[in-house]
Amino acid sequence: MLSSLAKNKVSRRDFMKACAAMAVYLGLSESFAPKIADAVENASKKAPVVWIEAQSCTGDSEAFLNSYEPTPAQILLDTISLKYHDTVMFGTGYVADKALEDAIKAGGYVLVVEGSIPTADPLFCTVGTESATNPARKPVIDTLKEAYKNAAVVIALGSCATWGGVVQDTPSKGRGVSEVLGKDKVVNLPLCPCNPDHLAGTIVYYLTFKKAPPLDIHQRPLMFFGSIIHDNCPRRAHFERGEFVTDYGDPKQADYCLYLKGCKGPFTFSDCPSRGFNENVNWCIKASAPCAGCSQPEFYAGFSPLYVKSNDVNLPGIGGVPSETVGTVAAAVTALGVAAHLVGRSVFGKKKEGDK
Amino acid sequence: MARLEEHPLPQRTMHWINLLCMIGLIVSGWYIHSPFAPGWMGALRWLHFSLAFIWILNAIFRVYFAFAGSDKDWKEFAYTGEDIKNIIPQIKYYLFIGPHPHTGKYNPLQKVAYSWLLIVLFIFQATTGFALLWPTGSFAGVVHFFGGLYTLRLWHYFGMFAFIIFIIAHAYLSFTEAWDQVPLMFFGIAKKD
Amino acid sequence: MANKIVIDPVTRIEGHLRIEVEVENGVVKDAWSTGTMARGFEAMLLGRQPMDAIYVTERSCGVCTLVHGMASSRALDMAYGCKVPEAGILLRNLMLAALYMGDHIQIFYNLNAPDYIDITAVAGYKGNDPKLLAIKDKIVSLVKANDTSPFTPTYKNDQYTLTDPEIVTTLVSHYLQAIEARAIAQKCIAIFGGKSPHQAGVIQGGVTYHPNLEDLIKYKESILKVIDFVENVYWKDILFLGAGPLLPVGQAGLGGGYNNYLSGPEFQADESGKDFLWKGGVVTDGNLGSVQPLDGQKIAESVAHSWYDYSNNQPLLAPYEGQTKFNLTKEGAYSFVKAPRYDGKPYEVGPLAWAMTNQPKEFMDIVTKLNIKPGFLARHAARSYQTVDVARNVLKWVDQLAGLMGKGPLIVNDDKPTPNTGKGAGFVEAPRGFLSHWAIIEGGKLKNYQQVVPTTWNGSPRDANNVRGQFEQSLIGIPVPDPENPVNVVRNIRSFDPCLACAIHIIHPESNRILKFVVE
Ligand code: HEM
Ligand code: HEM
Ligand code: SF4
Ligand code: SF4
Repeated sequence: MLSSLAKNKVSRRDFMKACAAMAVYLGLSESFAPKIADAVENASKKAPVVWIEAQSCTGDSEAFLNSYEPTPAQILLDTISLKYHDTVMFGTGYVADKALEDAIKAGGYVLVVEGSIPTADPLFCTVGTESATNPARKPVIDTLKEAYKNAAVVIALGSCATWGGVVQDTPSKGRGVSEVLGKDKVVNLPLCPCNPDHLAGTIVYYLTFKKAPPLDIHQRPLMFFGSIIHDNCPRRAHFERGEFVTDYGDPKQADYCLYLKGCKGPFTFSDCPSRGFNENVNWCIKASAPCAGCSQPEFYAGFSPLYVKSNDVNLPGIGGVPSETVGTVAAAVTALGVAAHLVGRSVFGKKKEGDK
Repeated sequence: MARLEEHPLPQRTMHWINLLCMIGLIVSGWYIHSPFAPGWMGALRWLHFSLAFIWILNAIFRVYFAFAGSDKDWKEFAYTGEDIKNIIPQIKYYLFIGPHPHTGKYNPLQKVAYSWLLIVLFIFQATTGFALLWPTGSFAGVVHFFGGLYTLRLWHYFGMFAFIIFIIAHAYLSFTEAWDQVPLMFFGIAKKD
Repeated sequence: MANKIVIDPVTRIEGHLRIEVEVENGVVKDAWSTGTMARGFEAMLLGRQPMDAIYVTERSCGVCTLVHGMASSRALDMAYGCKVPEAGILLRNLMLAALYMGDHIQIFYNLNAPDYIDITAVAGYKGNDPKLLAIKDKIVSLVKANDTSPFTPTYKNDQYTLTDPEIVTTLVSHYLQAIEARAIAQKCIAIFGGKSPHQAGVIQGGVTYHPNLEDLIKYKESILKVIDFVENVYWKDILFLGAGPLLPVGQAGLGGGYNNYLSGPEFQADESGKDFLWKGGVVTDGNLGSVQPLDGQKIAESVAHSWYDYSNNQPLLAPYEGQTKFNLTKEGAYSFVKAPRYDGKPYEVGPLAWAMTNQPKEFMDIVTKLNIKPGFLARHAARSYQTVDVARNVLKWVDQLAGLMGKGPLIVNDDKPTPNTGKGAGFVEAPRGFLSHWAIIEGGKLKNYQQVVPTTWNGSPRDANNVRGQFEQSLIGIPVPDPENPVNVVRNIRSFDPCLACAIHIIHPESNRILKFVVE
């Protein structure tokens, strides 16, 4: 789409075409192209971005570096001004801390948060020192609170930053931005890791309209998270026919439905089937890996086990029990009660009306 | 004892539809949850949704009929002071420690089971079912309320067991306590006293 | 007079690292390395369906992604009793090869090279290469707009900083190309694994995906571009810098450390599981003449200076028996990282260890000829050569896999039910070094799960005998002439390619207090 941006020889016409494509991608009409062009082209308006990694694996930053339309170099050089980013920035130590401090003071930036925020204890994640003179470790939650205040818009990037993801259920109790910092100005872009298209699209939308795109009930942009994976899945025909992968070794089953392998596609909202990853070369289900439901607030703890179809329910005092068992036991107890009643009936007899 | 007028044809028809839908919904729902044999998912989901609509319309009409029908049998389900007095004796009766109290067509427990309990279960199952069917539009709030599609489905699944349990108890009591009512309810045949 | 310097955050690495050094007379006298973030994956995994470990531990690190999912799968291969068929082995090799190339390119250009260049030198570029001129124009316009983040601010230049406009501009253009080459390598992983980072396709028994010929062609086309970058840009840059402007760093051997090296076998060559492209091994005290075979039984971890307790104060515990009892008030503890030791001693892992234990002739000849000693430059050279070695082998595996495709169905996985009890260890020679996962299954659920990862080896704190970890040891003697500018410290640390997120993963479930770490 915007790949033409930094390349020197590209004509104005091609560029406008790319912007029109971006407009369609963002769910807008093509007539928005000039507005988008103006927003992404104008270098004097490079949007300041502060990117903070909390309890992260850096996977979302890596995913961002996989962007291809536009490329990360184009985004870095032409579109945004990356004031702070642990893994990318050239500065280190107090130099880095100072850059962050200055950016927060200036305000008006896009804050990108990657990784969960520990709620069991702030010291589960510290980045930098308290100040130039106090070398104590600074909890990232404090930095985030400061950064949140002066941000124009906050993007929670990846499953950990949205609802804790795989860190949700750990002893550090990782939680998402909207659960810890606040809900206003937050755009949630889950997936483990994020889809870089979602990030680029959200930033372009923000630059064009100076506001967040329309969001769903979980503050995810509707343009990316408006549909259920199961409804757009290429394996859906096999689902309808009841053809399920039960043995990965059987080539006949190679593109059967993964429902019995624990696929969470029926419960998961995302555009993975059409957008794919890494230049849309593939995605989980296409590679025969069951969807883990990584765009949902339930992910991970609520969806575990991931590779086995199971609907365990947690019963107080007993722990995880398959829902099939719960239902069958309840029905069996009823049947037993009925049988016992039948026995009782023949033992005690039926009391007639008026008997004493 | 059993009189034909107690279960006129419209009621009997609706009871039939109810029973058949229920069987179809349970079988198809069970399959959707745990596909036990290959090849049926599409057909059984189609059946499930079709029966769901028939079942809902039937149930709505049954309630409407209770108020607007020829015999206005809502009164049979309405609670009276006497019913409240009879609750304990009725329970005692079922536990073999008391005689059957004198009641109307339906005893107080039946009234609860046939009206309030079924209506609540019905609304529950229909709401969760529709939210599963159309999770994005106006049912998004329902999905959210239940904590996502995954748990929503579990609730819907447990709803099925609630119906199964109702049916077990209801059928048992019909066969044991009101054997004479069964042919009447199903085929309109009234046994002579 | 000793001077304490705190560097926090150490940027351009994976994860959150803090380094403290004591500097006396312009050189580092003592050092402490502290990981500052913990999540607690292993505690969470206990009691879960074993395959969840593949998915969860894959997320230990998003930079050297894939390798944890792979180590976990190998541990479960053993625990489930799966034999990986040839196609499965080849597919795993192809993904790992792509990771190696993409990762190493990024480590050098995007994470390490900025330590050696003064980007403002670009303004002085006098040549007429249109690509380099475009970069010059861009950077100059950013400087004019007073908006040069994230390239500034930085530490000040020192004697090793490259300021020649021609060299710097070329390196900046390679910096940008490296981002693209890396993304192509990631795409190669995704062709078989679904996506990258965090591919989803490697599981016990092989992989989930049955690829077709079209996938193989796509892989080959893409990987050829990466191979081109590795051989014609990366390796050539390293040869140029190592034999040219940075030769003094290499000959001084800054950042060497213990000279204990350990690496595992990798790139399985056949179904026997005994034949590997790299054999790996163990070299102790720099004794290159005697490479011992790696014995997993000799691995054990100490928590003497980490925030954990072992029952009966045992000095070391093997990973299968690993315990995770947290003690936050423990005297003298200063890190979340455990201290793994091999036969009781600290070892370096990673590309330099790979080179010292496998001793590829071409590489050994070059370093001998140039008289480069172990240290941060040698680490970069080894990393680059290791990438070249992968690049030279990858096409062979593509052809082998293509050959298998003609011959009937391609069985890529051995689908076995979860065993009731089982035990397995999975080793991977990852881009960052030797990685091992250890799983114990009981009642069909995980009873214990431990990861001993490269950065735990390299970045560990002191052990029960007060012996420093390899980061700490390698910092001793590093010149820091100006306490405001400890750039050599971070050059050395970054040359290890640290990954802190995966180094720290063990936290006791009941703990919810962590004491502040104070150095007296
Ligand atoms: C008493 C009546 C009903 C019973 C016993 C029943 C039972 C079930 C069961 C057991 C499932 C499988 C859930 C799982 O996988 O865990 C299911 C799925 C479903 N039911 Fe029902 N259901 C009933 C009524 C309805 C109604 C009224 C609707 C409304 C349209 C409905 C719509 C659905 C939908 C959409 C699904 C999900 C199917 C899919 O996405 O594959 N159900 N039902
Ligand atoms: C094995 C299946 C069933 C049998 C043998 C059966 C039998 C009967 C009988 C004998 C009565 C009359 C009771 C009396 O007058 O004392 C009755 C009433 C009733 N049954 Fe069933 N039934 C069955 C299934 C169901 C099901 C599946 C439902 C709904 C979910 C249902 C709902 C009702 C209701 C609401 C009444 C109240 C009367 C009416 O609607 O006219 N029954 N049933
Ligand atoms: S693979 Fe998953 S998302 Fe696709 S049809 Fe099957 S259950 Fe649905
Ligand atoms: S397919 Fe499922 S698991 Fe894969 S990225 Fe999309 S939502 Fe996540």
